[in-house]
Amino acid sequence: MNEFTKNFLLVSVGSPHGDDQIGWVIGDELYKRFNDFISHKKVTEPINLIHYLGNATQLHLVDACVSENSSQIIHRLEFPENTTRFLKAFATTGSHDFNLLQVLELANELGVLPESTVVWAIACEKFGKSDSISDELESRISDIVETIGKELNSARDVSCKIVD
Amino acid sequence: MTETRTIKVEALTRVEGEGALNISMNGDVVEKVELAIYEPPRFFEAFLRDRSIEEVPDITARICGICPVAYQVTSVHAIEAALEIQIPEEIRALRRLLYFGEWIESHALHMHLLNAPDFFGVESGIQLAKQFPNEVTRGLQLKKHGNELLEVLGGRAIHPINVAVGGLYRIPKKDEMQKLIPAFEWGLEAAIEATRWVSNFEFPEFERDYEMVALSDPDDYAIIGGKIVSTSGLSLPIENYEDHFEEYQVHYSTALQSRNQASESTSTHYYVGPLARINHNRNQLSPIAKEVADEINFDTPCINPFKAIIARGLEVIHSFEESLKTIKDYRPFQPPKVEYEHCIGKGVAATEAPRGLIFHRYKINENGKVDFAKIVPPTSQNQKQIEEDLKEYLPTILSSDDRETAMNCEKLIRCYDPCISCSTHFLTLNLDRK
Repeated sequence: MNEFTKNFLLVSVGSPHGDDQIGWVIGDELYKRFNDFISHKKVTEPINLIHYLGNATQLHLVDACVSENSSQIIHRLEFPENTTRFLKAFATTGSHDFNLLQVLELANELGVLPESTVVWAIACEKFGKSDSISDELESRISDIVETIGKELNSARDVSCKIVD
Repeated sequence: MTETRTIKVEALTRVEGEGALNISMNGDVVEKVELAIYEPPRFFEAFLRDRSIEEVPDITARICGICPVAYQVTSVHAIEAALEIQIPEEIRALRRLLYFGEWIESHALHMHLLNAPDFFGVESGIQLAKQFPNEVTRGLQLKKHGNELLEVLGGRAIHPINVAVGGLYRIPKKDEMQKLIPAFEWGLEAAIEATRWVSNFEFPEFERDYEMVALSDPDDYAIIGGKIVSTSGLSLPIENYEDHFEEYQVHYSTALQSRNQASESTSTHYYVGPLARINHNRNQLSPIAKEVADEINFDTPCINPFKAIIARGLEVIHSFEESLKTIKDYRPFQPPKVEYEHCIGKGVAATEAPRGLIFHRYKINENGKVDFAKIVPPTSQNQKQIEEDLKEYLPTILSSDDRETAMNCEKLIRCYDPCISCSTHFLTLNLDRK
């Protein structure tokens, strides 16, 4: 890793319940591909992501969200331009009162939010306690990883050029 | 003709989980207060049936994302009681340390981000951060160090996985523990400052003659084990918990409530949590926690529920102080857990979750599987008390503006730090596995 890359932080938000695990699963897959380039942390309570922000200059978050629009499985949101509207609309449900949007707002208020923050919100439906991921969502994992991976690839290419 | 008002808080904010409050009034008379928990019923007691006892700690840890250790440790102690497994003192000490990690992270979050905003008339921790950025940052840092302890001892901060029947799966290395020392030395000082800060809040003048129930032990600030004591003079072994306390269902809530069925008075509700613990066990607080309690003139018994935030602060001090001693004295040992054999057994255990007393009972069969499980979380035990508090408190805060009245009710509820996700479970379920 170089000075640029070690400040690239990926945080997966999830819980052991049904489709809410998707953030962790996607994060693990991305880290397998990009561990030369990114740091990866997993959290259950979104509030805990603040602990890991440190010197990160770029933050990507992956989290499940509740969506009634089943045609689009993954939404790319940038804070604050479109996260406020979309995260409220999707009612991203954390298991504690600090949902993801509130945590980002808190981090911003405290001056610790990285200059670039992207939320990858994955539309899910089934959050049964201790259930496994639904088959339908499981079948989409590779597509989701590819979509996010493209952006991480580009960022890696940029970082290599910076080093060069 | 008197006016009937119905005040509804559709969704309580800044509590973990989902709950609502329904109040009916006839003029100034409070006719009905219902704390309605509308989370889907939890099936954990049924999930556990026919599971091997070795799976129980990890399954119960998933009941709650913020207090997994409470469930894990209580379950494992109940199972060990059922099988008559004696764990060595070193294991008990590490489990106690793990528990402190949870107290720290839970109390720090609640004090700074969930409860403190109420004392400044702001709606959220985000708005509080505008006024008190250093304090909020301190609270988050305290929580972080609690999580770090959970990672070292529990294997991970999210639903720790290191607690096993008979001990732990892995004993941490000495250097892993020693790395925590600087953070915990900072944490002790920060906890003292945090407690001083909250002790200067303006507290509503509201006191009640509570039946406060907690674990107590003459040798320790009780977290795991001890006797169950109450302000009415109860002192009973944990095995007798169900002789005195029973769960029952109310039609408006998916969470069971609890009552002291042996109460000699007409009221059967009771209060669990940090304030109950401090009131019973002030003498067992760590030296610095006791000093700070004296310094801030925190008199016990304290019967103002709004001052529970101070009790949490004192417990965070205690947690850091005792944890530091344990960490500095720590020497790794083997084996990480004791051997045992499966046999038929029944066992109970009680510990003190961040929010109060938690009780488990298990029946185990000869194949090492669970035949029956009962889990009584602290928040369900407090529900009736919360309703009774509101009945008393409402006339003093009643406003023509329902929203303002509702907000003041929420403030009282939040003092209990209710963990509503934990407090729902299913009554009966017949499970047939093929």
